[in-house]
Amino acid sequence: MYSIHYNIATLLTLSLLLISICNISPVKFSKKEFLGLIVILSIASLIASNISQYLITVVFILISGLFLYIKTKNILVTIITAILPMGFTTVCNYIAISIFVLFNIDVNEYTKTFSNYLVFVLICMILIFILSRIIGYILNKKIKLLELEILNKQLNLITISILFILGILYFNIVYGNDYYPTNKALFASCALQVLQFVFTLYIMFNLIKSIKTETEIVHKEELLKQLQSYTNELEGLYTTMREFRHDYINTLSTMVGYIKEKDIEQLETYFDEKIIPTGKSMDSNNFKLGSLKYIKIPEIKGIIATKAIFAQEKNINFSIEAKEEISKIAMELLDLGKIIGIVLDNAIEAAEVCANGYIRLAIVKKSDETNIIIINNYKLPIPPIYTLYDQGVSTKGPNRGLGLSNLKKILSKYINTSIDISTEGEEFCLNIKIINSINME
Amino acid sequence: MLKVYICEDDAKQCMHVKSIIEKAILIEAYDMELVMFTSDPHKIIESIQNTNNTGIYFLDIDLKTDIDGFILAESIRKQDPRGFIIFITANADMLPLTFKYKCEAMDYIIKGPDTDYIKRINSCLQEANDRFSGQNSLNTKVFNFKFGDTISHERFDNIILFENNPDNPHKISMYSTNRVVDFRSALKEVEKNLDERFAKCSNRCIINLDMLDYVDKKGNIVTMKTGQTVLASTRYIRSLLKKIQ
Repeated sequence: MYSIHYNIATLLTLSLLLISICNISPVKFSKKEFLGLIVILSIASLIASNISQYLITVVFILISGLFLYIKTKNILVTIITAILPMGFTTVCNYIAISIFVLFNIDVNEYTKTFSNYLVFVLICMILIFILSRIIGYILNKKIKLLELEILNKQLNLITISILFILGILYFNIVYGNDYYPTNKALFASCALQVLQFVFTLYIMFNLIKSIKTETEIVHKEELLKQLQSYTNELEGLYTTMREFRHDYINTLSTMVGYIKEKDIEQLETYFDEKIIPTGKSMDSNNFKLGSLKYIKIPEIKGIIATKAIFAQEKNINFSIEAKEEISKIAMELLDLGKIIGIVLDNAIEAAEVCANGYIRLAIVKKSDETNIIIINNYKLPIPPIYTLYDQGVSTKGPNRGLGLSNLKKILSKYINTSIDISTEGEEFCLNIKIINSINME
Repeated sequence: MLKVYICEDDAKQCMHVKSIIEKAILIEAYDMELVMFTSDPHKIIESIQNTNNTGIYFLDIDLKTDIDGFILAESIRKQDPRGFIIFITANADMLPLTFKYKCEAMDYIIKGPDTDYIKRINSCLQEANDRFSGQNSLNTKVFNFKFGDTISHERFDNIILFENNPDNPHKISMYSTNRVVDFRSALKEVEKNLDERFAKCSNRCIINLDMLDYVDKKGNIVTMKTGQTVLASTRYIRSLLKKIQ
């Protein structure tokens, strides 16, 4: 009889743990996955409970951790999401014990009957549910765990600190509670441990927060560098213009000289040799970045300018078209910057091996959407188009094509984007559409 | 019938474009009629007012009147959303991509002695004709789909397959011989607009049977003529094999 009760309680605890995992996990679980996990976990824990009651915890963490890792491919998310619920359970257990102690009830005596035990478990459950909701909210809405880029050193620190708290809590629940001489001592110990848990969580959140600010600073610095190179380019342009103006006066006076002497032959050679090349150089690279002034998003302006300058250094003819002010695009700027960077990198790779490589970029604003069009030429043969999104395929041989598959992954996050890539002859054309209005359902 | 309009401020150029188009209509026996050639954009706007015709519009950009080809194209779009707009201009610096994509123009042709603009006018006529009459004949049928706020097209005989985007259930990936498009739709919606040469090979994928190379029944893998492979489900493979026999 006791064992059936015991098993029911175990199952309840398991599903509760799973619910709290769902509450704090940044990825959603389907019903199928949820039920499947419950079945696997209950079988595994029933087997484990025959060996040792305390093995269940380990089994639970391992299985749910494995599952989370397969789903998210993100170690930090896996560690936090798999281990934190165990901490909750223990902490909520303590809180419940503290409540009982406050009402002067001896917990060990009270939970000896099964119905009382259920009441105790129920109180724990409600506490766990509320706590996991709150922490899930903080992790996913405030900190945005899934988007964090974390260095290994910091990751190790977080993991170790979580494991330590958990170890202490766990050790206490397994060995500690039965040996406290008085209820007051039990209460004090519980309260202290709950406080410790809360404070460690607080420190951890702050650590993650500061890591986040750090990454933001790194991105800002990158942006600043890009804008710096854009400014340098503009300064260069200004100098060229000044030189040109200076030359222009000289050129005119030379020509005036030839005309006055009616030396048409000399004038003609002078014209062919000096004037025509100047006209051509006016037409070339430096003068095609003018449209950048319409792009009012500094991050995007920066990345386009950097890539354009980089392309021009490789003798690729790079032109930018923008007719109206682009000040807002309905997408996270970091993602948008990444996308444009990836596409332009690919375009540069393809165009630089062509004899007359060119890249044409246009940002076109329409009433309800923004189009980003990038056209470049490439050297034949190009691999079949359906393989372009695969990892490791590009027009430049293996290990170069990570770009487009990343691009697709980023765009898939957004419901308001569409992408069209096509080839025609020696031209590769990519069109990304971003719809402005968010209410698209 | 497709109605052809030309708006060009230079009379000589206008006659030249007109003669190219008339010749093409005559030789290829297109179901088209040249209804207007003018230098006044207002005349075109006036003449398409309150009509439901689909037209082909060859527009110069610099029209030397109060409105330019761009504004003209926008007002044509309002009246004739499915019409075919082609810009013809002598000026290469006029933001060709912006014009092409903003007005969903079919082409942006730069005229001049050393460009292939006659050829491009002809291929525009050809494509407009195919798309317009395409719904009737088997080898020029086109699949129309909503790409952002525009209607995009792909010829049935170019399409290889449609697939659910594995990372986003609200998006469909369309693979054709030279194009991959990800757009917002559902496989059910796509299926409605296809003909009998398309068949499902699983819940996630519709293939073009004409593009099918072979079916690996053991591995449940379908290989297309381009080399692309997709997973098939046992349930659909049987009916698939029946269809290709």
